[in-house]
Amino acid sequence: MSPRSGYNGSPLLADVFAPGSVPFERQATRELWYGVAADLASLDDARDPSRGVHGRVDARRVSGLGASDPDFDEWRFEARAYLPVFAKRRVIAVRAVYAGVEPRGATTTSLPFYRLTQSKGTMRFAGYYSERFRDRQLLLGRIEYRWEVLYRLSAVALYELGEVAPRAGAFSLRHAHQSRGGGLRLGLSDVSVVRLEFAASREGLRSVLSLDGDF
Amino acid sequence: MSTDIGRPGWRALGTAYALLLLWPAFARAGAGATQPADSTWAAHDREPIAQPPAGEPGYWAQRFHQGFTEPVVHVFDIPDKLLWVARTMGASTRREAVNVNAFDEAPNSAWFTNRNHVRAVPVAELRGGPDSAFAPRKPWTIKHAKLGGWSAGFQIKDADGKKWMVKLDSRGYAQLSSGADMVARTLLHAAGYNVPHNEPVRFQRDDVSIDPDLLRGADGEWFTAADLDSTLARGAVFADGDYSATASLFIAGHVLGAPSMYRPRPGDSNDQYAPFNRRELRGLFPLCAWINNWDTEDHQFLDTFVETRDSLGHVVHYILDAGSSFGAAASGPKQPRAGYENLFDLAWTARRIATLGFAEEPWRRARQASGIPSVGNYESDVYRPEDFRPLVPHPAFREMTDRDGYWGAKIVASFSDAQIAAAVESARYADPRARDYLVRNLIVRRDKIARHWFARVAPLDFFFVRDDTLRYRDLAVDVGLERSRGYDVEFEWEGAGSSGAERVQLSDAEWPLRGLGRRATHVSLRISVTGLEAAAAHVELARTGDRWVVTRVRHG
Repeated sequence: MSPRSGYNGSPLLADVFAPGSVPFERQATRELWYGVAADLASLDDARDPSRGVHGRVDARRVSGLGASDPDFDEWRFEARAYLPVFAKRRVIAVRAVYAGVEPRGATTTSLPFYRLTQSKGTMRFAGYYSERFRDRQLLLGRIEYRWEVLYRLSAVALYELGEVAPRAGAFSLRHAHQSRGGGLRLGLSDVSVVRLEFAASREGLRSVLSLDGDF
Repeated sequence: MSTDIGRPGWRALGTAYALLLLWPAFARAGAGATQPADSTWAAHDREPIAQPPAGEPGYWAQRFHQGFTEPVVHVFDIPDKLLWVARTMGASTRREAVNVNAFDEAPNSAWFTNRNHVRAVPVAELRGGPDSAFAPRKPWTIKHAKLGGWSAGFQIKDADGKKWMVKLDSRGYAQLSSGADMVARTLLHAAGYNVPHNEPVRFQRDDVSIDPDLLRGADGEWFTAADLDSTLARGAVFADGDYSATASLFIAGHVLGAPSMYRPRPGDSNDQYAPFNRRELRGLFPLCAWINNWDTEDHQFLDTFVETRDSLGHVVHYILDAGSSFGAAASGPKQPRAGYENLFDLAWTARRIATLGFAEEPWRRARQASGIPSVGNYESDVYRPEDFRPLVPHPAFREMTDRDGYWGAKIVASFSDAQIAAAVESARYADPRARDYLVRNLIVRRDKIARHWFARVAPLDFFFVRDDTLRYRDLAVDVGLERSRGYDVEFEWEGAGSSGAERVQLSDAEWPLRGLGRRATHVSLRISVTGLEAAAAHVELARTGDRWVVTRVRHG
């Protein structure tokens, strides 16, 4: 294996797969996408919710612009629920995400690896490196207990299960990737949350400072 | 065989242990320190000096240092933990305030003047504050925009040519800050502190014009009619459309900036002590707890240089802004936790983390919402004097000892109901509920403060000799917290080659000295309240000819 390594120390693509075995390796694609998104919430406090539910849907249709560019559908469903533990400052928060991509039409049978659903950003598995897992579908479930420790700042204890699979029927709870950890959550605004998390998994302890979420 | 060394033995052991730990500090302190004559009532810190250079601590650096670094570092302060061990054995390891006189009082100084607790300030005088009450005469001319701080406002010159800073109350809360500031500064001034001349004012848009130079930007600073409109839009209005604000008269002298609480101002040879070691700043804690003045950062103080002759003068120290007192904060009503927790409160944060958020803070139980827009969140039912916490930990408050706290509490206790009512009336609240609410809560808080500190330190004070009898005041009895009670006196006398020690019990606050006979020339007494655990008062007397005089008092 090459002494060089990729992002976060992961091996390079070329070191893992034989040339030509990865669809769209060394091939960029051009696509046009359009879609719909909806965000529905019934919360007592948008910045630091303690009671209510929140649903989010994002569906896109992606059309390749070139003859070899893929056509596919992409979706993401997210549901959140909040329940106070006798007081607004102590909350059990639950989050579930189901995201995926699916080739469309007769011409597209495989998708570029870089268009697969990945465990990154707000779908990163807490105890694993960003982009550690990718496939056509991703399921992520998290339950966390939050309790306020300072004004707007909460401590968090979390448990998470995440998995990727080529199709819905291939998900297996037994093979899901567990993360356990904790951290801090600072609500800056209704749409901006800073989180510092430490989570342990089979692959070790990971920490991340995220600024891009709102959970 | 076991030996019971007893409580005094443990105390002696603890003291020896503490002395061992403190020895390097004593060795340093002994070199070059100048002590004032200890029976003085004047600090003589207004000797003519050249103007010291202006300067002040960096705002954010100071806030971060005092608010975060110091509390965290303190957790890992090993010597302090060793001293804590000594304290548990009864040793006194806290350093007392350095500027107290022989009577355990703070002498008059450029920081503080003994007022209400030594001579009740007449109600009419108290209402007047630092000057006789007067407000900026209209029309006003805006000379500068207000820079910095939360509140909107501007600098004006009034019709008499006086310069004022006008700070608007937050929109929706007429008289919230201006009323709080007025009441607080009136009480602080009567207590003995230097405060600026502030007045709550009402004005209309037509009362204000903008200086033509400012409109033109002649000096590089612009302030247009649109700026004025946007400033006023952030301000509170009364029902009749008048704007509500505080007008603060510019303090006389050359502004030097906020003092550091850690060291005397460089160049001010009159100022011998680090402010955090001054009695009047340590003893400010009970006062701030009383009026809920939670914003006591360095920048709420101000030093000015007052010229007296030939470019020489002295520095005067002010408490600058008390507008965040009672239920008010700069941007509206106080948050419920304000006054109960520091901005970053390490102790409460740790408790919340450890208990998974099930720790119940006092402020959650307190029903603070007064329902009165000009009062905000202020209460006295759940309030506990010792639980008060300023926005950022104050170095002087951290160093406060029971003696300092008692001193501050006796100032608080010195305010009568009538004086409190007068102070509140000075704010001229438009809502009559505000006056009644504040007076009622201030009285309850005052009594709680007195009870708390008078239970820690015996409130026996103002010792004097008349008709060959040592007399004193029991402040708890004086303010009506206790009925007349008895006192235990342990005394030692010496003189003419002989000495003795005795105990007596008194049923009144007086002790005839005739019984000491002619041989005694010095007496030291330890007076405690019968049945009370509070630290006793220590008094020393000396005889000069036929007269006994009190030479030293120490509370606790």
